[in-house]
Amino acid sequence: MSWIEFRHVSFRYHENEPWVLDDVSFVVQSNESVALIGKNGSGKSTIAKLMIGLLQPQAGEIFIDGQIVNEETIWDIRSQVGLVFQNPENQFVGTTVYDDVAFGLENLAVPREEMTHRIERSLQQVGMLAYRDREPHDLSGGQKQRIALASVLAVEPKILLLDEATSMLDPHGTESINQLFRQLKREQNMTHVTVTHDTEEVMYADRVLVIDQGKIAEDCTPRQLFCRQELLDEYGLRIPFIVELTNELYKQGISLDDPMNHKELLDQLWTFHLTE
Amino acid sequence: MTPSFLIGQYISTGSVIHRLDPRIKLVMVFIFVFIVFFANHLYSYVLFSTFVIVVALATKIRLSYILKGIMPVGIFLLFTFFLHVVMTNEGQALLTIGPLTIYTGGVIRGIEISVRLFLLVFFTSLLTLTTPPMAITDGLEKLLSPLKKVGVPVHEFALMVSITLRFIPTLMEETDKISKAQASRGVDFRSGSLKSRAYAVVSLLIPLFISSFRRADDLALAMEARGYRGGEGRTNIRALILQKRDYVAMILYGLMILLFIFVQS
Ligand SMILES: Nc1ncnc2c1ncn2[C@@H]1O[C@H](COP(=O)(O)OP(=O)(O)O)[C@@H](O)[C@H]1O
Ligand SMILES: [Mg+2]
Repeated sequence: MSWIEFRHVSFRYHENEPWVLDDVSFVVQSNESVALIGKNGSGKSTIAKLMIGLLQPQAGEIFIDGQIVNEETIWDIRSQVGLVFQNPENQFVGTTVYDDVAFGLENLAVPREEMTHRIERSLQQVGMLAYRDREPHDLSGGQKQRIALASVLAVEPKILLLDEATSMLDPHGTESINQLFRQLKREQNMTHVTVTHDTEEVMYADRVLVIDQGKIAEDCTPRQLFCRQELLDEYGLRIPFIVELTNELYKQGISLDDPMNHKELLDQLWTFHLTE
Repeated sequence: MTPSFLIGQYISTGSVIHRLDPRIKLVMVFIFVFIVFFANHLYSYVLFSTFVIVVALATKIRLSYILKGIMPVGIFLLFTFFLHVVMTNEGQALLTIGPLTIYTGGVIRGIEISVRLFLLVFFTSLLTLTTPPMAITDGLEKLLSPLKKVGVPVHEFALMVSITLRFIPTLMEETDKISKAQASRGVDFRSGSLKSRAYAVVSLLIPLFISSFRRADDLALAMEARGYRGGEGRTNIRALILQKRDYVAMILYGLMILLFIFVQS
C-alpha cells in the first residue's frame, strides 16, 4: 500500500511563465516500478520534487497513499518517500559516510541505538559498510551515489524516487548502481519511480511514462515503447541489446516472445533450441 | 591532499588523544591559549614545551608531519619576531643598521612571543589533527548550547561550520579544475601586471561562485528532502559521554596547570 496519485496537477516556477507541468494526472500503483523519460527541461525533476513536497502545485492535488501532500503533511511524506538526486557531490551532507547516512534519521529524531542499527543495515545493503568512516572526497561518484541510496534506505521509505541518479557517473558506476537498484526491486516491497535516459533501466521498469513539455505524452510498457522506433528516435533512446537481437533474429525467421531481460532471452533461446 | 593544505588536517591513528571527548580537548585548548600568554618564566616555557611534546608523541602522529602542517604559520611567526625585534627599545643596544637600532630587550621579546605563538599553534593543531571536524563542531555545539536559551543560533552555526568543512576539499578540487581550464584558454595566473593578474583571478572566482551557489541550492534541497527542518527535535548520532580517560586527562591537565602556577610564582 504505497501508491502515488497526481490529480490534474499544474505547476510553474514563476507567475506569467508558461506552465512547467500542465494538468498532469497519473497513478503509480503499489510496488510498481515506473520509468519517467523525456527530454531535458520537460518537467521530470519537477514531478519528482512535487512528489516529496519540495514544491507545491498551483493547481491540482498529489496523494501519497491517499494522503494529500501539503505544508502540513510534508514531514510525514518525507519519511515515506526517499529521493536520490542527480549530483553525487551536492547531496552529501555529512562529513563522513556514517554521518551522512545518519542525517535523515537525526531529522526524524530516531533514537540513537535504533539509528546505529539502521545505518549499519543500510550501508550493508549498498555494500559500503567498510567505508563507514570515509570522507566524501575520497569516494568515487558511484560510491557517493550508493551512500545517497543508503541514506534514503535507512529512513525505510515505502517509495523510492531516483532523479537521474546515474547520469553523472561513469559506465562502471552506472552499472553498479543499476544492479543495486534491480536487487532492491527484487528484494524489497517498494514503489519505484526512476527518471532516466538509460535504456537498460527503462527495460527493467514495469511501466514507462513519457513526459513531453509538461504533459504525459505516452503511458505504456517498455515492450510497447521499444516497438515504436519513432518514439525511441524522438527521445534519443538507444534500443536495448536484447530487443535489437530479438529484432534481428526475427528478420532471420526466428521469432521469440519479446524477452525483456537476459534471463528471459536465455530461456527462450534454449526453448527454441530444444524445440527445433 | 597535501599535508600543508589546511593547518593540521585530521589523521586517524586511534590514539588515546584521538579518543578523548572533543569537549575536553576544546576546553583544554581554550585554557591553553589563555595561560600561554601569562608565561614569562623560562621554566614555564620548558614546562609547556614538554607538555605539548608529550601530547604530540601520545597522538602517534609523526612529528615531522605535525611540523609540516604548521609550516604556513612559520612565515607569520618570523614576521612577528622581526616586528618585535625592530619595534622594542629596551635593554642594551646590540647593533645599529642605518636608522634601526636593535636592543637585547627586543630580541628577548621576539623570542618570547614567537615561542608562545608556536606553542599555541602547535597545541591547537594537535586538536585538529586528532579530532574529526565534525566532532569539533559537535563539541562546540554542546559546549555552547546554554547560549541557545538567549537566542544564539548555536545549532545553525555548528551545521554551517560542518558543511563548510565538508565542502572545502570539493571547492579546492573545483578551483584547481577551473584554474586549469582557464589556463588552457590562455589566462595567465603567474605573470603579467598586477591588473592583468587581478583579472585572471576574477576569471577563476566567477565560475567558482556560480558553481558554489548551485551547490548550495542543491544541498538545501537534498537536506529538505531528507526531512531537515532545523535543530528542534533532532537526535544526534554522536553521543558525547565522558569516559574514564576523559577524567584522567582532566586531572593530568589540572596538575600541569598547578605546576605552571607554582613555577610562575
Ligand atoms: N528552480 C527553477 N526556477 C525556474 N525554472 C525552473 C527551475 N527548475 C526548473 N525550471 C524550469 O522548469 C522546466 C522543467 O525543468 P525540470 O523539471 O528540471 O526538467 P527535467 O528534469 O525534465 O530536465 C525547465 O524549463 C526548467 O528551465
Ligand atoms: Mg532533471
